[in-house]
Amino acid sequence: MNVYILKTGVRIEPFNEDVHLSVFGNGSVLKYLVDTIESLGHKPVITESDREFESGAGVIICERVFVSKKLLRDFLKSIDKNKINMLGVYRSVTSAYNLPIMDVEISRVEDGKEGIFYSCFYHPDCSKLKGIKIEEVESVLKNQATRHITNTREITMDMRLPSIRGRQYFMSFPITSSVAGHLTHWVHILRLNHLAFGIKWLEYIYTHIPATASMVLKALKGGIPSSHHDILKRMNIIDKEAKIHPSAYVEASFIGRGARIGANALIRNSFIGENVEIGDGATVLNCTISDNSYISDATAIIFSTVYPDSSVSNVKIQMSLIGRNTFIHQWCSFLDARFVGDVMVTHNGNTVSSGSPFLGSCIGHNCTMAGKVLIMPGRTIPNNITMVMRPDETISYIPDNLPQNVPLVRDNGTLVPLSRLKGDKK
Amino acid sequence: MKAYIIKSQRVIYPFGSADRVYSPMLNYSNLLKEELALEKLEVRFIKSLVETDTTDEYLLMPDYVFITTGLIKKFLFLCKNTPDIPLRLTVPESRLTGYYTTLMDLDRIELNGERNLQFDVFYLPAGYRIDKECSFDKMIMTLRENSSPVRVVQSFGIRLNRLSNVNGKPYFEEFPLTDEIVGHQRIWFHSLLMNILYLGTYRNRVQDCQYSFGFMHRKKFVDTGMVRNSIIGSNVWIHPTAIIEDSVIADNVRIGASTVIKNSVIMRDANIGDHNIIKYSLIGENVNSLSNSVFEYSVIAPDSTISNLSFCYSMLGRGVFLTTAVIFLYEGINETIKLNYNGENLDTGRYFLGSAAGDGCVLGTRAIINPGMVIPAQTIIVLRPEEGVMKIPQLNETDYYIWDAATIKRFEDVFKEFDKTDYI
Repeated sequence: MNVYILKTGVRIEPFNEDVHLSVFGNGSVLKYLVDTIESLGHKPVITESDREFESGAGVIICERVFVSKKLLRDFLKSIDKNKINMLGVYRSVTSAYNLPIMDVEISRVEDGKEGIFYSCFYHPDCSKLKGIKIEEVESVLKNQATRHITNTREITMDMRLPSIRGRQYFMSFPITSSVAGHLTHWVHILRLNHLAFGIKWLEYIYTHIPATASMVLKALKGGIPSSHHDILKRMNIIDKEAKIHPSAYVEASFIGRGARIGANALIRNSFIGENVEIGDGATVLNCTISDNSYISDATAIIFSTVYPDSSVSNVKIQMSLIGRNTFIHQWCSFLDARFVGDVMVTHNGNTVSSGSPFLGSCIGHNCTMAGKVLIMPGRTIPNNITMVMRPDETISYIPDNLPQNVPLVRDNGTLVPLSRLKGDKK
Repeated sequence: MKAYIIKSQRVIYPFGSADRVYSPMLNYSNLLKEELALEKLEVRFIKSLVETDTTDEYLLMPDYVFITTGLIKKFLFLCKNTPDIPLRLTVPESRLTGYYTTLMDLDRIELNGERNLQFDVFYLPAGYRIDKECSFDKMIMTLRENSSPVRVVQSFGIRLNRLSNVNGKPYFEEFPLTDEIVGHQRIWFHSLLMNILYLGTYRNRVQDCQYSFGFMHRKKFVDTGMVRNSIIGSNVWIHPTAIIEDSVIADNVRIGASTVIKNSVIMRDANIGDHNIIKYSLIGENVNSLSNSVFEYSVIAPDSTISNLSFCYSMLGRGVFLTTAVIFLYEGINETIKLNYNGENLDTGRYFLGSAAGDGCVLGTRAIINPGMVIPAQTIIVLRPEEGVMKIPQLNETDYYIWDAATIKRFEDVFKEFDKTDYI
């Protein structure tokens, strides 16, 4: 069966690049989709015109749609093969996780529950789609398709978030491999990568049963586990060529070839790509760190996604998306919480809620963010931006004959005695 | 045989005269300690040329020269059985000299189509007459003209140290490993780089030497558990979770929990707090480092109190007080770092270089220092008055406040044109 991935030129701000190039786990979204389709025994066809539709049954996936392997397989198993079907799931913790700002169809289904429908279709005879403009295929199929709900399973994990103004926030975080979504905003890429760990981890278990079994046995061999951390810290998928310092604590993570992890580093539930360097004492929690990136010493990077070839040397960075070739300097800060209401983001020119009071910012490709740049939550920095410090805020010129043992202050890029500054004010 | 070290007039800004720069491993006092290792070499410090004894052969060098015993041995070996003219140490240009000799005041000479660097280390044969009454500078000038070069090849290895990506590509610094270093001090960063270069071989040297190194009463080599390949002095307290690799820890040092020390030298009586990261650094005597500090590729002179979230490629003088929110920027943004030296702008050719602060500086909160700056000695930098909250007025629970000009004000009183709800 052919699986058509429609190319309609959807682009995501601020990267202004093909949505399929977005990072997902240790590769791109397109790589994941193609691998998924091939492993299910189907043929992926990247479709740019309607002439490429062939006769026979097929699946049509619109460009901005992400669908995981398990969900696609369950969908194809459970549908009526003589009708046009549209992929849908019940509203659940997983499907609601990246729902805000998404352009999906939400409607009541027969049993009174709420269903969420994604632009992924099954068509019994794809040759009927010939002669329809590629941009209109989605709306034509939406009119014809029957809404089909695929059952999903999920485990949720309760996570405690900070309390703001006396209100305690909790988040139930899903671990599942049945995930679908529309990638229309950078927030979706970030949230999808939060879920990537569960998807990839469960897929690894299903496809590598002997390896997983031996891993569990090895974990149990080390003695009776006293807590779940005791098992998880022995359940890592680590490439043989990765160099990990013996004192680093790595728990349930994927570590790629040539990665170097420093002493006392803490890595949990993360994807570490190839040739990534993580400094001593760094903290990496629930992150996707793509190939060739650099995380400096003592940096804490939490719930974030880093595109390839970037350097992150912040002191702390949370819930943010960092583009390719980007350099985040030591003292650049992204604020990551709003005190009242949800973080607002811009989408198609409108300011809309991102659905959560906790969200960082998105930095485009080839950006350089220098020290002391503060960015409010939910902001987007376009590509190719270099931000430097204000010259008047640094000490960039040191005059000769500075008075000794006299308090000096920074003023307009140089040093002046404190007493002179006070005199000016008067 | 005697080696004379003449006191020169050279000043290394901001640390004062050349022998005041903190470099316990490289300056001539190190030669004094190691003269046993060099057979029959007697080191003398002189203030004028009158004190020299010209009846015998001797070495002559000014005090701004850094030279290690390994290279002196090689040089003296090549100087044997030579005609009666002064000889000058000459070293071929290599990746090693390229690492640390940028902007050094060196003479260049071409021998057999190969580029060489000449240093102010002279071998004078017995009976060679010098004008003892002339000044030191004049003397050096005559020797430079009259001497003939002796080519000594430095042996070295290269290790790649990864730093932040530059222009999107992983940036690897070619970090040489050698015990044969010679150089002139001209700008502070020369002594910084040469100190960092020598840390690794210094550890080997301390390990190999039979005698005590002065700062270490009784040493022992440890290679078990969290301490690997390191030399630990007596009366050292190390927390069981601290990680120490390829380092030298002198007497009476205290090292806190979860601290990582790699390729560094910690001098005696230093106090290193918890969760510190110290890599490729030299920490002086009696330095107190507070919790959660990061020091990489830096030199810190004795008696300082330091606590900084990231202090890289920088150098501190004696008795400096450094607080956390002082920012030493050390990364050139897509370009190499320039230095201001005697009114001229010099390009260091390095993407990573911090700043230097002289003796007795007090660096207070929110002093943000651009790369390549020099803070003179005894400077006190304090917070700008309007950047701290000095007064707190009567506050109302339902309003939102911001911090402005040394006090706390209502948001809408200060920023009328901004929408308050965007910023809370």
